[in-house]
Amino acid sequence: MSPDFVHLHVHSHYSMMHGVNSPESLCREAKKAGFSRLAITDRNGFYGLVNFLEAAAATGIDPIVGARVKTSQTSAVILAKTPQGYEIVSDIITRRHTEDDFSLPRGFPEKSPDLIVISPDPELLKSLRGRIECYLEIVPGPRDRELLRIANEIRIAPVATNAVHFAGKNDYPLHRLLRAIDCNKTLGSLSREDTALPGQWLKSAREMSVCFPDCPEALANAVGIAAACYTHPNRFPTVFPAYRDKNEDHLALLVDKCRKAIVWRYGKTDPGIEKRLLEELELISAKGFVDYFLIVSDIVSRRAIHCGRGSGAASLVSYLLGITHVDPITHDLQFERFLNPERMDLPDIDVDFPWDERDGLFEELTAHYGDHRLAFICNHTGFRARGSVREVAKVYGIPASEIKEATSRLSYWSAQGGGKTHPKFQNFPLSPPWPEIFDLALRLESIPRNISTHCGGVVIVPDRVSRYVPVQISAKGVRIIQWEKDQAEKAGLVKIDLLGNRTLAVIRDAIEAVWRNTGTRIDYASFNPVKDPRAQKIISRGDTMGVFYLESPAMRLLQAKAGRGDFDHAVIHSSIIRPAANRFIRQYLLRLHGEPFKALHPSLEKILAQSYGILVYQEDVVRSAMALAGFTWGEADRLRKAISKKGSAQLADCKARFERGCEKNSVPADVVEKVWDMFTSFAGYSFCKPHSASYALVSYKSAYLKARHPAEFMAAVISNGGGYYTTFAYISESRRMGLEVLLPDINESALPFTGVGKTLRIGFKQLQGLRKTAMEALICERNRSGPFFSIEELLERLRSKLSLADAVILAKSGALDTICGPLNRPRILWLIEAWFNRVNVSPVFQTSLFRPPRVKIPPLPDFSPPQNLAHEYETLGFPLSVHPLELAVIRTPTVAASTMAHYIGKKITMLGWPVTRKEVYTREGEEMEFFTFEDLSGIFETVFFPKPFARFCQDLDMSHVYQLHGLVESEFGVATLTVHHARRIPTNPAGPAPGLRR
Amino acid sequence: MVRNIVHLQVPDFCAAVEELRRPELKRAPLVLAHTGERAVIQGVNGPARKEGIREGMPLFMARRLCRRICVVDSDFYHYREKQLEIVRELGAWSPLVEGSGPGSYFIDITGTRRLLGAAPDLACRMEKELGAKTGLRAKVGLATNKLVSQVGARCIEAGGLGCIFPGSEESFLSPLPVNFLPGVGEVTASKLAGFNIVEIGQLASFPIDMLSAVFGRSAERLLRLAKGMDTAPVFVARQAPEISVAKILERDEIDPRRLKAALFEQVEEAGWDLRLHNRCPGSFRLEIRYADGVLVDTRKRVPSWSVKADRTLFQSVLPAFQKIFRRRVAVRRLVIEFSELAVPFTQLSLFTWENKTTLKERDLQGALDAIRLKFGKKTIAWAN
Repeated sequence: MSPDFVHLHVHSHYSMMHGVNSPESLCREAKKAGFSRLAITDRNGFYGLVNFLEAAAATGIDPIVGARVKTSQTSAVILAKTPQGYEIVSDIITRRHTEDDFSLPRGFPEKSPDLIVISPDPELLKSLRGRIECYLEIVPGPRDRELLRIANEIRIAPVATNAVHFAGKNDYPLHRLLRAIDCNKTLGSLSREDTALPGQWLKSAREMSVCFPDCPEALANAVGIAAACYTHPNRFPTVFPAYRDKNEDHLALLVDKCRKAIVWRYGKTDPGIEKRLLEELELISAKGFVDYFLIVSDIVSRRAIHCGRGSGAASLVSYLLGITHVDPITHDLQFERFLNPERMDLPDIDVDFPWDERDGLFEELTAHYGDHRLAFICNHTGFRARGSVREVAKVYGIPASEIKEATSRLSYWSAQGGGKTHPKFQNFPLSPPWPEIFDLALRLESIPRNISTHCGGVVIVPDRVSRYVPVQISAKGVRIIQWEKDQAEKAGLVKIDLLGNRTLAVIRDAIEAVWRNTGTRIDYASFNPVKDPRAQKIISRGDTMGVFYLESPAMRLLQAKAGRGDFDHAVIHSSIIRPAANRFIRQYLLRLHGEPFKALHPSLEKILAQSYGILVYQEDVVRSAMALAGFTWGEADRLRKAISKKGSAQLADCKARFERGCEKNSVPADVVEKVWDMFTSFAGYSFCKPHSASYALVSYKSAYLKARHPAEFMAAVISNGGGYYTTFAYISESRRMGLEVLLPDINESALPFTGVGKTLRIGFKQLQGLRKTAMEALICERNRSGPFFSIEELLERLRSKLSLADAVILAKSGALDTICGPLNRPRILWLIEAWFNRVNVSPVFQTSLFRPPRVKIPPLPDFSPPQNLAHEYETLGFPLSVHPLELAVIRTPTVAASTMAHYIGKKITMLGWPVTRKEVYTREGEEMEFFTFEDLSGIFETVFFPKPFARFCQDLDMSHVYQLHGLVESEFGVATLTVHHARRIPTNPAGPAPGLRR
Repeated sequence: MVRNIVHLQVPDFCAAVEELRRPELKRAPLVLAHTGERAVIQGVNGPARKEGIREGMPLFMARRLCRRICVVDSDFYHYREKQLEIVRELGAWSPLVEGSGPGSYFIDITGTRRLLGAAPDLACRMEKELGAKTGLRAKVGLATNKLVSQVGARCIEAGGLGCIFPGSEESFLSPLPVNFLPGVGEVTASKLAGFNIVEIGQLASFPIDMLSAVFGRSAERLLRLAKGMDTAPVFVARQAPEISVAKILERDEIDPRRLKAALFEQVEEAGWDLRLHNRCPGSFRLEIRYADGVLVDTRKRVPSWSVKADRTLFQSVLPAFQKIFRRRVAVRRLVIEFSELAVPFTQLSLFTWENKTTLKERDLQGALDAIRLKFGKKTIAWAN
């Protein structure tokens, strides 16, 4: 039976903020309506093309590729008749996004048999006629008769489409909601032009034919066009980057580079190295990765500090090229995990750079490779729980404060069935229209909203990126492709991940500060402190706040419980710490502390010997599956992938095959179950060993710096920001480490924190509200003409660069205390205010001819300690002169964190200032929370189980002192508090209670 | 001549008036607010204040602070009546009575000693009589000017008298915190706190040139305040008649169609009143209060052609509404206020075709009014 109609103008939700449905649901609906072909033509892009092709293949629809290109003047649906047509459409879209003076008639090539253009704009079609196959688009609606008449008049064939924006009639309200959010309007104020017509859904052929009783030709044309267009296959060839160099034989170049580096890395070669190198090079060249390695090596050579990670760290070649710094031979890292003859998908190398060097590096690369060859991967930013609730509530005109009340109660990742069941919504009335808002917000989730630059994925192609995928300019001003990383990978684009990492900047800054302060030079590339006893000691104790990757509370607890400081165990720890692996962590710790164990199965004994019989790395899954079920490497790797993607449909199939394989090898059923249980603990989170080893090395480098050069290190940690903890938590940690934290000083402070010897000086950047230009002018002036001697001199020298507000901030923070002579802070503030008033009032004083009379300052009493504290909060963002706990009004005696270990098994009361918190779900799906507190003696971990959590969660925040009552429990010598009761403690505004001061 | 100004201040006036109506609520934490979960508190009494509840707080938050609060729908019409009644009562003592705010009154009793007795006695009598007549207790301040008498009243409990003798104003104010001074707002107070100036005495001690180096032109005013100098007269307010219809929407509303319907109802109500009293307005004021408390208003003249019928009146109000309803936030309250009321005076047109439509509208309105007068207001309404 020949089809009666084909939809040629369909928008999925990748037509950002216009379409409503995913390509998957559109394909499903089309199939249900009896179509066998479908075009998805998203607005100005191929954003969801790969997903569409995949969905089409899964549902048995023949996909037609095209896009609707819209400019401010006109619009047209452009369909690709051939694969060449695809490239042309991609180019047109690229030009639409990148050229300022793009216009539609001029955007088309001179003459092309590879395209079909459908547009409701007769002028556009008239100008294209003869060059490109044209049709006049007729959408059922108020203008359809008029357009039919025009089509007859200008003799361009009409074609019927429904300009589909949603799959079913019921999705129209959602479309209107999206439009209201996009246009920043309310549902009531949306105008006719803002939205599609209510009838623009995926109508069946019958329903379409009813709309065109007098023009069956328009329907037939749609079928004809569909037949003329090619069907894009759901397969893409792999596109490798090309390393262009005068030397044509790139393999020889790679071999040469590696050989030279053996001396640098190992001193001299040996047969083991030679054998491994030969194996790797053979595989690399067979798989076509030669140029890829050369390019990555070229990129990393441009910056001194970097860290290659991911499975690429298993390669000797990348170690020799300086991409990674972990020796794969010493640490027994398997190359197969990276490249394998059986591996079908594309491996990638991830390289971290200091976060502040990345943008400069990108600019350098763009200049070197040319901007047509290089582009960034994008992110499709969608609505998240909070975001969607906020947006919908805005459409309903809810005031901002009330929206915040509701969204602050939502957890970050999901609206949780409207949030009504979460304990934080107790006593929060969800009166109308809130239930409606939550329902709609839930429907918005997973709809992409806009695209942004991915944090580091880059594709480099041999010719032009826009041949493969449309390119556009991101808000940051860089060229990005329209696919996010999954679609880019499926489309065969080999990507290089260049990510920003704050710890590398911390290490760089600390190394530099050490050199400046002590004259000791540490060379980053060869810096290998894994054997340093002091670094090992702090790692084994879990004193690792600020240390890369080992600083989270869970990690510190694990380190402390294990009590090991060696590299191999640290590698295990950084991989085993997964949300779903709690049971295995316990088992691991028991075995580590000497509990005898037997491997689950004799064949696993050797594989899991190093990790106490517990699956730790991704490779362990692969190798266990090979050993137990007789899988090939490729099969096992597919199993690993299925496991690591949560809720994947392939998982059930993999499980069945795994069980069958095990049965064949006569593995007992209970063993199979236990192993599978361990497999599933990898869901969502897992690392391969090379990755863990790379990161563990960075951890040791930062641990070394923390142990040997604490001031320089902590200053770098705080200045670079972005650690796991707040600045105040790091300040407290610095004090626990015996460092003295000094107030900012106009002559001593730099922009960031600075650490020398036993002191940590607060930098100007920490001062809240101080303008960046002001601090830069200040530093510049100080460097040029020397230190400042008095406040008036400072104001004079920085005239017009320092505003009144800036000067007040400096004074309140105490930065001017050293140059104020006999003045106290209120009098300094008076002086500043008067100085600025005078300058504003009388221009005479602006000339230097007359020296202005000195400002007369009345005697003013100095600020009290609580006033100073308030100023610290205001200017520094944290208290410095007193700890908030010192101001707590307490009536009952409490136990200090340092003596907590003496009370194991007893119920005690403690006082704590919140440091960090992490909300998790129990296996039954109830909310609970891990909370880290500190007191004057140290830091301690607590847990709120579901009942106390439900009771106290509304009272817990990060800015109050809490009295905690609960049971001290100990595991492997580490004490934690299980909280039964928490109470917010009022603080005494009159200053610290006597006897509590340090 | 030394003046004698009495200041009476009834603490938490609205709540106190409400307590008079419902004595059973006297000891309970009482809160005045409109019903509905999203309501904002408009008044509190002493016990509620002790629980940390303040005006402007959302009702649900107050409920969280104190579960047993009694919520009473606020009745501003009643409070205003009470206020005017008290001003009238006080008029028996002196012709110069100023009702400066709810529960706050200034009475100028200068030169009444021979007639009514010594000033402190008189002030006490005023308070006593106010208590006897209305049941409200007030704080009383007596001084030579409005400023000091207000501070004087502020320093004592209800039922007491703060009497500041002439000449001792400065020494009286000196130890008090600066924010006790009326006229020192949050901004000035925080600026003063920046220099650690907390007491009025500190402020008063500075020479003017020193102070003006920092406070510029406002230094002089500040210094006069701190020294207790104030020459403002007691101002007798006279209110111009106006017709005002305020409506708090049942639910915060953002749909323009429903908002227009609500506004039309208000205009109809006001129009009915206008025709009932045979007045025609010269101008109107439209006020929108958004759900987040933001208030916008506009004042426009009413064109004379539109005053005859509700529909034409609405046509002249609507553009004003469209002009000020701009934000993407729901509306909570609408107020329409017609003022400059005058007796209708229209000249008949020489050419009858000129205002045929307005005449038609007027006749229609007349018919509607006749039906409503006879059968009740709800009997006939415009279709939506």
